[in-house]
Amino acid sequence: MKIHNSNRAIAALAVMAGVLLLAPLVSSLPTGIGGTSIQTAGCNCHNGVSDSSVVADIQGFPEQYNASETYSLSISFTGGPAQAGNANLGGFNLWASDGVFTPTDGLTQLWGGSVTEVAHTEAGNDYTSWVLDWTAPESGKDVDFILHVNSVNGDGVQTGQIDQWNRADYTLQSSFGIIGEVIPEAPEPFVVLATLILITLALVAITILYGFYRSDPDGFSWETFSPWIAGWLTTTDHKRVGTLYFLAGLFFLGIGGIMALFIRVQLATPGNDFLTQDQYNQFFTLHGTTMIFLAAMPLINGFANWMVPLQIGAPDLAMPRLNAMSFWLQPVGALLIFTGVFSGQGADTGWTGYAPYVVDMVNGHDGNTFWAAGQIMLVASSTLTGINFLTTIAVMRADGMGWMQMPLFTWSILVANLMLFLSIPAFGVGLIQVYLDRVVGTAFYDVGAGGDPLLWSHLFWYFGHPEVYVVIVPAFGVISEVLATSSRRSIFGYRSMVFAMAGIGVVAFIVYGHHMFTSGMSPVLRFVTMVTTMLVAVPTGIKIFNWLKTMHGGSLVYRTHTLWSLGFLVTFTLGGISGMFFPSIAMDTHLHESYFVVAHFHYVLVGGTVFGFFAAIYYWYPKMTGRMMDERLGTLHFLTAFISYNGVFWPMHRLGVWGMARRHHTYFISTDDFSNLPPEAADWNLFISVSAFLFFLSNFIMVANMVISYLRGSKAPADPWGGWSFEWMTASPPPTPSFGRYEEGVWYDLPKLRDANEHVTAEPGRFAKWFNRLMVPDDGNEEVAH
Amino acid sequence: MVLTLMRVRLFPYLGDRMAGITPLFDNLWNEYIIWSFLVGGFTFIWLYHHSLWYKSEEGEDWDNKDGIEVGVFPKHYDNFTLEIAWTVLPFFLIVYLALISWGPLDAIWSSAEADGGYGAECAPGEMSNMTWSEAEGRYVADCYHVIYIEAYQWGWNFDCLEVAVPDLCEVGTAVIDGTPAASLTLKQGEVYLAAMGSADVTHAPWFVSWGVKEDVLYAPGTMDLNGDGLSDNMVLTENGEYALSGPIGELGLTTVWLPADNVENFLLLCTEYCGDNHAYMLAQINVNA
Repeated sequence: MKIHNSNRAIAALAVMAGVLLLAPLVSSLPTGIGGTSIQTAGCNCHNGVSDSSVVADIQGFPEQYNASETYSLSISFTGGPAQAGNANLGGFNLWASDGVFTPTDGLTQLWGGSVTEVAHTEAGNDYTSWVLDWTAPESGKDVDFILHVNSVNGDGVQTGQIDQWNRADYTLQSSFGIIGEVIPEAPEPFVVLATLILITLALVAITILYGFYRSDPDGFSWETFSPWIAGWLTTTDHKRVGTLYFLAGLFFLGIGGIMALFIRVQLATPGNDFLTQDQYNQFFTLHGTTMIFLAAMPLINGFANWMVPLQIGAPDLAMPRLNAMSFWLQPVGALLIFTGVFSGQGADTGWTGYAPYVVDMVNGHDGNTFWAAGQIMLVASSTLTGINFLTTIAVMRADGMGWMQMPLFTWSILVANLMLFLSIPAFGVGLIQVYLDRVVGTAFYDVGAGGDPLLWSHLFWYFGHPEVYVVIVPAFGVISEVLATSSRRSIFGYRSMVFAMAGIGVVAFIVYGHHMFTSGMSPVLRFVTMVTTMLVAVPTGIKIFNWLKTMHGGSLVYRTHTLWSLGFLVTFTLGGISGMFFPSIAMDTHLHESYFVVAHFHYVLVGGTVFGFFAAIYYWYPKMTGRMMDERLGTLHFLTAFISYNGVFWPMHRLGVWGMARRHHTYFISTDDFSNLPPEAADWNLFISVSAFLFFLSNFIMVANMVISYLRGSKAPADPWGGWSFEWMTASPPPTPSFGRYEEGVWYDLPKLRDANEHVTAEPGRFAKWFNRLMVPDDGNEEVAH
Repeated sequence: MVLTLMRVRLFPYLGDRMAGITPLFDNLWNEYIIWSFLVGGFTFIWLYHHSLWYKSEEGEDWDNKDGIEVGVFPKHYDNFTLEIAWTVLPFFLIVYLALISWGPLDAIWSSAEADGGYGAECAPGEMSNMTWSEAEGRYVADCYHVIYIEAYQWGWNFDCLEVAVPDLCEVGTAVIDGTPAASLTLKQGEVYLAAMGSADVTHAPWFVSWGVKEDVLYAPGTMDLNGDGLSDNMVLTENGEYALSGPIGELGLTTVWLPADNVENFLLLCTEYCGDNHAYMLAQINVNA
């Protein structure tokens, strides 16, 4: 019987669905899956087995608890081998996610050195019920309780009816109030976040609609709008896909920024309870994930989609449909990543998702599964993007454009995609392992089963460190273009710029160990990594000095993109210098995981990458839209953002050295009882929070500038800044196809690059001249001198 | 002289707060700060000079030295000597910084089995007599004491093992910000090697005043599987003291040196994100005279 492909697909999907449904029930270990704590692995003392005949019970729970109130709880069990006359009867272990247990007699005791876990004492082993106090937490969030009870035969050995145990779970809700006092309900931060996301989406939609209306006010109707929007949603044109990437990146930059503001409100004062710990952990996790994967990467791809084909004189990318697919994987991935948030169980692992916490099914959130699933989609997207750009740049360059005549932005995209292409599979493998651990029950990172959490650290940072360069190298390309054009000079040391970028791309793969200096790595390997990490400063230094030398003898015109590129040089240099402190291991053991790290990577990723993108927006906006941006608004944006940005991140260096740890819900100012941060740390934190709001708001000047300029800006010429590369050859905005015409399978009239160095390129280089001198003359008549 | 001037005159805050960490950290920090100012100052002076000196106005005539023309790859603007210079000079600086960072590594990760400057494990009643060695740029001692730290979500257990002698090592409790937490009291002038294991996920204690932190990985011996009422990493010795049940490496424990150099007390924070109460995974460290 012939089986149709569709039937096969349905059968395969059904099998996969069945596996996913049944897999969580599968145990890969005799003792069960999960961590080693009693909450996860169950009670395995007395070699007993879990049995439903043992019934655990807690009396004394209120319907909803009041903050800080103490409740008397009565724990008991029935069933199993416990019966009068046994030497022992049983025991229990009760764990709570919050609050404080207080034993009230000699039958119970705190367990594991924690005030949130309690168990029976030796004397309590002779009972089947126990009484103790539990004091509710100060903040109003749900508290989980896990109770394990043992019913024992008391003979100390497993004869006759063997010992049995069972488990009971409870969740206690907060009343969000204090006895005798009615306090207003605080706004739920996730509701605020969701509202802001929806408002932002609505504003984007209104702006798009208004833009469409303004393009043809008389012809505005559903009949014309429907194909217009469908055209955008199904486009494979590199410029339109680039615009989609760009809008998505800018949108998520705003969302990530909003989450940063939540974090800063929480840290504005010590001991603040604006966010609970649980919420705070989710906010910093999603802030990092959003900014790196949903903001920076799409912004890079936006500019790359737009500019690479234009710069190399290609009509489009090599695989336009694959390009569209790469884009559409991103919003799907983003939805998955954010799904956890809207269920109240957002990912809470940090963007680094360290194992084994990321596979912790007791304390870790369910959103971590969605986080891993969404990231897998983004890995697929980035891989497809890499294939497309590498192919396009390799085979679709215009006539006359050799590798060493490519514009530096195109070079930067080539290097970034090579790095990404070689590193992101490791991340993908790690994510799939995490997903399988969480969903199917494998044990890649289950330490109790011999899984190795350091495997994740290696896989993540093998990708994670090159990823930092993946997002900064395109900014190098932008700055090279902008500074050279603004200085009205050729970039200084074009070849050394290319080699420096390639050098960064190579060294990126042998430095990631510096993220693991405190992870128990071999001291020898740590020393090697220290040296290789420091070496990154050499190619980076070449680039900075080359940029500075580019201005020498030039005619620097101050436009907004020039200001941003000069600002980039300041902040990126500072970020690079602070980065030199981490490879020095004796300092890293102090600075690691402190606010000094937070300051450093924001100087690189915001002061470097984002400032580079701001320069790119002002530089290429006229090309992309055909409209010039307002220079006065641009200058205002630069001044306000540059000052407030430094107000946010510069003081963090001091906080880090003083001892303020990152990923902490709060910080501790020294008191008479203990010593931690000096009192001025609180002032600096408040200053940072205020500056963060100013920085966030200052960027709306740019958004307003983009919208106003699109509607009312003066028309842009083809080459408004005097650049040399092909994108300035075509109209603003460029037609589709961007270059040439396609007739009967053949492209005509594609551009051809001329080289002002033809007399130079025809001559052998310095190395070639030296090499030629070593060669035997080829005329065969001359004697070879020995 | 230059160091003093920069620390005290130009950047007075460096002289005060940074010295709160060990001399090991301070010396490196000061050296790096000086080089940072030199490199940063050189770069920024160059940047400000060029961005102002070569400034021109929109529409102003300019000399098209490099043949900038759309569709034409412009003339190369380079200088081989200069490019080599700013490749080689930063490289030499990096070699120097790597060398000064290399020295203190022994003080951080000396193997407990080898003579890394702290001698061998102290015999009962023996003292470390820790001193600062200017020649070596690190602390040295006659011997060290081994203590045990167990991390769990979300707290710390300390055990002084065989060092449980009054004044030398004591474990207790403290109230931090209204929350009970473990405390560890050590003696000034003594060196301790902390052997550390986690009962669940990865943690990392940050001994802020000593500028050290190290990951604590899950160690199977943190469980009481043999049912003797103790973590399996520990055994009760014949003389009634607790000791590690095997060599540190075989127990899967990580280690960190704790040179108790000053009389002080400070908070111990967890710096490897470990879940909900990560920020409140605290302990208090006291160093008594």
